[in-house]
Amino acid sequence: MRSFALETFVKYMGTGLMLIWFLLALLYLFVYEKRKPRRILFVYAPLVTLLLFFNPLFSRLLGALMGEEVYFRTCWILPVIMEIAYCVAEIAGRLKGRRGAAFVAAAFFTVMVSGKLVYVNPLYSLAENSYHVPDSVVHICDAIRVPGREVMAAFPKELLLYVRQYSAYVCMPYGREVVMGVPDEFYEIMEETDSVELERLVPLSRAAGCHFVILSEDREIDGAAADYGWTIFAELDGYIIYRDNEVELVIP
Amino acid sequence: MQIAILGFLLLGVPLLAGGVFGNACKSWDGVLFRWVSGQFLLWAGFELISVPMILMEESFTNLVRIFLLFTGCIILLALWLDIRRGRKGLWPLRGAADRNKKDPLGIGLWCLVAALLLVQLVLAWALAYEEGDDAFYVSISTVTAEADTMYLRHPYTGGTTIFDMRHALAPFPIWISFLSRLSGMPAVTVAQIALPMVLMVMSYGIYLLIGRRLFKRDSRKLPLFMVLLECLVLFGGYSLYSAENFLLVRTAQGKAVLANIVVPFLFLLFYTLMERLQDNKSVDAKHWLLTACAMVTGCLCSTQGTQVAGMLLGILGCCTAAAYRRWKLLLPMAGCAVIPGGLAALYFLLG
Repeated sequence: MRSFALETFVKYMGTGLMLIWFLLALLYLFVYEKRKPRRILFVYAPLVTLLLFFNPLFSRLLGALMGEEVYFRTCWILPVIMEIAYCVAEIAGRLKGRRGAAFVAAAFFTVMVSGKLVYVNPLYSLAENSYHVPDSVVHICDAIRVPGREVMAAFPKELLLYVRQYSAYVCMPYGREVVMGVPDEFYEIMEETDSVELERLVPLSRAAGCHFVILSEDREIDGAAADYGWTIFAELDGYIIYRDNEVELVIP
Repeated sequence: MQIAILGFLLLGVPLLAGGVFGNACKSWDGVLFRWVSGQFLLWAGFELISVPMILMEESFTNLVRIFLLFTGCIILLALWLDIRRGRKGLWPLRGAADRNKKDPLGIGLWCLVAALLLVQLVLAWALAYEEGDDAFYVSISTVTAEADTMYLRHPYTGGTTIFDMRHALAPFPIWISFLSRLSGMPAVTVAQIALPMVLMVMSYGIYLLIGRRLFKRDSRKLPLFMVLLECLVLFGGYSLYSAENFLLVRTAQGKAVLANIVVPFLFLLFYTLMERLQDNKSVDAKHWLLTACAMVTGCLCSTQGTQVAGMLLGILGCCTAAAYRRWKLLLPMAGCAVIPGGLAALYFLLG
């Protein structure tokens, strides 16, 4: 059975290739680096860090203090990129002419192959505005905002992360915690795959004090909104904003 | 106007405040070092002022007033120290540029350093990342700036909540609210666009300062070191947890600042300390003050900052003391850990 420290380290090092270059750099500097300040920074301190990190007693103690899920942050005190870059620059300085250039080219190639470009992450997208939140969030929040007071609005899943980053005046009956698995009946009805049953949704929305409920245009609705005291407030960016007239909204 | 005010707060004010450490070491007083050290002093001050006020459930407006007063006092002190010192040693960057004029390869590498940095800055502005934790941290900044309360409203929903002790001891998002309040720029824009740009430059700036000490302004090795660092950061997506990934993806979150600014800055401070010990030079009290500021900044960034920065201080401190047989160094180092230790104790007692 792998220890918790080893599992954390494997998780931190991802593919593991960068770890290999780091350890090779450490070994090279252990053998060739004679200047004391640099030996301390690049050899002794990382070795002590690794020894402590894998020490079962230390890892359990610190893991308990920090929380095991964030124990990986102790790896941040390993000078991984600094050590690799320093080692390559030192070796390149020793090799003259074409050999030095070839070594540097090989080092860059190795870094690119061993790592993964951060920007290819599928969670990146072109920013739509200077807030880095979807335009639909900006437009909906601006539309439902009432100067001088807060409003309560239920949003679909894809907008949840952004609403309160953009406006503190728009409150929500549920937030990011439901995306992380905390059960919430209101959210579950909002995200049901078939259609939104107003008969079940409206009492929950009203109990939460929602002035507005925002649903995607594509969502099928089971029931007539008008029968439940809902009116369409606006249609924006592919979303329909419903206003629940039964929930009082006093404009100061 | 908003950009000008924010630029002054993030560049001008720390540069002025850094005058407090201007002559901590004669070789240290570059513009870059002055800017970085000034920011660390301001961050440490913010942590020490904000935590008691948050615990006392004071309004954010009062915090802004008191921190402005503190900043004003620091700037006055720095200016007074600057006047006493004269202009000696203020612009050492000029010397570094002159040396590289004769080496085309060195200049080419520096151009590559600048180009890679520019790419990262442009992408920080042009690309949005769907980062779940932003829903928490950025929302705290927005709520604080708009609702004037600190950690009393639930960031996800806006409802009132019990006091959030865990996050209140590391109020980096409140500092973002401070920038937002003074500049008039929405907190979300400060957190998602303005701050990442400045923090990235600061992170690479610290690595540049380390590189300068390692390579003594070698016309080729230093820029090669910087280009490699930038490549390693750009290709740091091999793990979601790497410090490099945090620098590009979660730049304005406190934990990214801890990993990419506080930790490298402690490396810089310790390397400078070791160089002075190697040359049998004395260690100025300002050095320890700056180390203490870095430790307190670690606490501002993350509740785990206490442990991470404390572990680094302990390891580097013990290695240095043992290697140079200077055990008395452990005393000021322990002094640097007093405030983080107190905050950690508070967290475990009340959290």
